[in-house]
Amino acid sequence: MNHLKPWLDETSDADEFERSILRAGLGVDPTQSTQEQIWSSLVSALPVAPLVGLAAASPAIGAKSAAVGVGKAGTVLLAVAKGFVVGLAVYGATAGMSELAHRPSSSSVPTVAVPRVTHPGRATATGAERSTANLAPVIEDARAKTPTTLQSTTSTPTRQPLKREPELPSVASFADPEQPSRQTSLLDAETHALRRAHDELRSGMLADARATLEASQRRFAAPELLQEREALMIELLYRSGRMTEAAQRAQVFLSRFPDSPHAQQVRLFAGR
Amino acid sequence: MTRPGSPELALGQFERFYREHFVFAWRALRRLGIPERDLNDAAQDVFLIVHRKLPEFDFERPITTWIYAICLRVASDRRRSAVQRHERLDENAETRERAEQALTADADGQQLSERRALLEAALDAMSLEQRAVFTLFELEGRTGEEVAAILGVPAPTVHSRLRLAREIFRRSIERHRTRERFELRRTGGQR
Repeated sequence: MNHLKPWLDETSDADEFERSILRAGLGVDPTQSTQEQIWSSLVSALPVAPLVGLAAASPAIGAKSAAVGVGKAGTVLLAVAKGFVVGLAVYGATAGMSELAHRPSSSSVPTVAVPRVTHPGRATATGAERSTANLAPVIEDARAKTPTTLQSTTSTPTRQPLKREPELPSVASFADPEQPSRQTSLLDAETHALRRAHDELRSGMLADARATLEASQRRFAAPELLQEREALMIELLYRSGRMTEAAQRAQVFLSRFPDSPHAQQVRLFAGR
Repeated sequence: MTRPGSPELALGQFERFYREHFVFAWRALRRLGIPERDLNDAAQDVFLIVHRKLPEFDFERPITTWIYAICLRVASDRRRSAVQRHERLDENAETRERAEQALTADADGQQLSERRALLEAALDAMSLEQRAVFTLFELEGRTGEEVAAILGVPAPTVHSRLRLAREIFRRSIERHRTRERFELRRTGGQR
């Protein structure tokens, strides 16, 4: 091979026209913005540790289950069970991302659902959409049992994403003299909020996801799904470029919930 | 690139890896004939695979060989899909757009566009393996040994593929020249 000279070499046996054709193919490097754009999409599409089943392993939910086991409130058991099922739905999309990463390639699977960088005029589902589709019956079931009255606190005509107050199901709207039913409704509402935040996060609507999570924090002072909310918040911080904050919060999470089913995923964001 | 310390690949480590190798992968895909409109998607595909496989990667092996092999696989899949869809990779909106831009561009810009189109046509006539060798050697400026290492094939194979690829390239350019001469004769040199 040593005796072969590249044709761009003036002393090679290529003529000037051939060299000019080859020179036209130089300088095809990507721009920095292309690199950033792809990275951003890539992070959204990356597999993260599946959080499916988290509710079952969640200490809060577990404690609740124990209480329910000895109590008479069968409906609370139902509520917790539903929390588990809907918890699956909330984080199901995350599990979907793992599937996604194990696909052979987008070209060999025509119905790829990876969030893509640019698709003018091209319709593809996001990972979240695909996962949502897989879990549609579960979600629909949850929605069907959720009162449709939504409390909107948004009245400004022009949208201010960072200051938006998401339309979460009103706790008041679930008011019921029966405590177990109220707990069911609270869990529904909380799950709904986290599901929405998750979808927004997966769709790249970071400001919306943050607003939803913050609204959820205000509304549910004693959350059933605290770990889930924290895990989403940490991921949101990371994807917003606030790596240090994400890492710090992840450390706090891991020291507080070392055995959390989300610990594995949270470690990814703390691993810098 | 520091070797990831655990089977789990931390995002920070992966990001460093991505930034270190992105240009190499992107350029490889471009040279392997992925149309510009699909380049970002293809690059994303490559790094999704990298992310999945990196924890198992044997860092005794050259990393560029591994990345290039993934790029080849992605390009090959896309080429096969394009064939199944009866679509030619060079016949896309972006190429047409570039051709239209060339019409309004200045003479130098137009000439560059024409030459790029010629190069693409010649490269499209090659097999993917020939194209890989040709572009690495002629455009990336890699030596024969480097090409052999990147592709993980023996040097004589590289030599053979390069010889065939050059023949294809020359035939393609010669066809173009013949057409040009014919056109000149037909128009009496009025082009």
